[in-house]
Amino acid sequence: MKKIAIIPAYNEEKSIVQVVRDIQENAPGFDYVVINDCSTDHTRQVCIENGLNFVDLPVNLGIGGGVQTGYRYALERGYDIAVQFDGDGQHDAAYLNEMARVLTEKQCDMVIGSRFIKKEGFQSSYMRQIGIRYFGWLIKLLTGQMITDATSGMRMIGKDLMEIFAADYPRDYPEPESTAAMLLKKKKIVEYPVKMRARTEGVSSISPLKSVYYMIKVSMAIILVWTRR
Amino acid sequence: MTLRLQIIIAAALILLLLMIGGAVRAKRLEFRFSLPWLLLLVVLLVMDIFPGIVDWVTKLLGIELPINMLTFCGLGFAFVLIFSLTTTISRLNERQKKLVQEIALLKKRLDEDL
Repeated sequence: MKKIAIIPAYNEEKSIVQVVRDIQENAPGFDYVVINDCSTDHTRQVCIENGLNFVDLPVNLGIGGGVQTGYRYALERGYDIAVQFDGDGQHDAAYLNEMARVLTEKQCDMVIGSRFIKKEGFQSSYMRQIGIRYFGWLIKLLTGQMITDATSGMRMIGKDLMEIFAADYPRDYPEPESTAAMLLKKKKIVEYPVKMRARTEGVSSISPLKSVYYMIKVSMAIILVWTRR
Repeated sequence: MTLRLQIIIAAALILLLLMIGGAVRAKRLEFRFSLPWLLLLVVLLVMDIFPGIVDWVTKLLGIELPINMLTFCGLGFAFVLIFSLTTTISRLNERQKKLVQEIALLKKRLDEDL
């Protein structure tokens, strides 16, 4: 079983080394690749100085484009399992092998690390929680399955979805839309309870004003996916 | 504006909405670029169903005739749309240039290694 963690990174010079060490120490068996999304800070230099395995994007693509690059990388190199892992240190690598076990034993297509099953650890801001609960409701309405953490970046997939996402993956705010799309394709998605940490360094790329656009855009995208089913 | 005309316009607008929706579904048109067009059609549909809105906006803007208001707003919207397309093209142009340079330099490195 070849397993890889895809770490999309935009201006994560302060946390990227720690994230990689976390994977190397706490997720044995997992390779990793940092996708440097044309960072404007010293992320690239930090990767070089610390001997990290990374891919440099010549122009900025955003989270969807970055992660999709990772899926293409994973497919090209024959990986069986790929997990998206945030470059800001919010995710805990200790869960990765457990999630991989669930993926293979329960024969799932995707395992999502959810903060809201056991509701432990960093629960995100109040507004974000409302948004996440809203997406859970919308996805349940259109697909029949309840997803408690539709925006979670901590998601693990097998070869099947890797091929689908490598060919077709949304550019911005991809998580809720792709989850809904896979559910409508009758893929098996299971959630696994995880604890996440609060962001210690840097600033989230989603500002309050963008959040409104986000909600509307993603809602319409999910409905659009539903019409294509 | 007669009821017949209202119905004809509404039918035409709904047809256009479906056509745009179809194009997005078939991936001929990317969703975020369809938004201004969808917005335009929805606004026109609302004005068609409630013609009073047209008169209200005309008075609000201090214009004499509703037809002038429609022409003015239509042109204004068209200019905004064209301008946003222009900035999008500028951005794409810049990104394409970066990609061209990246590929050229990569090719050079590969040629030197071989």
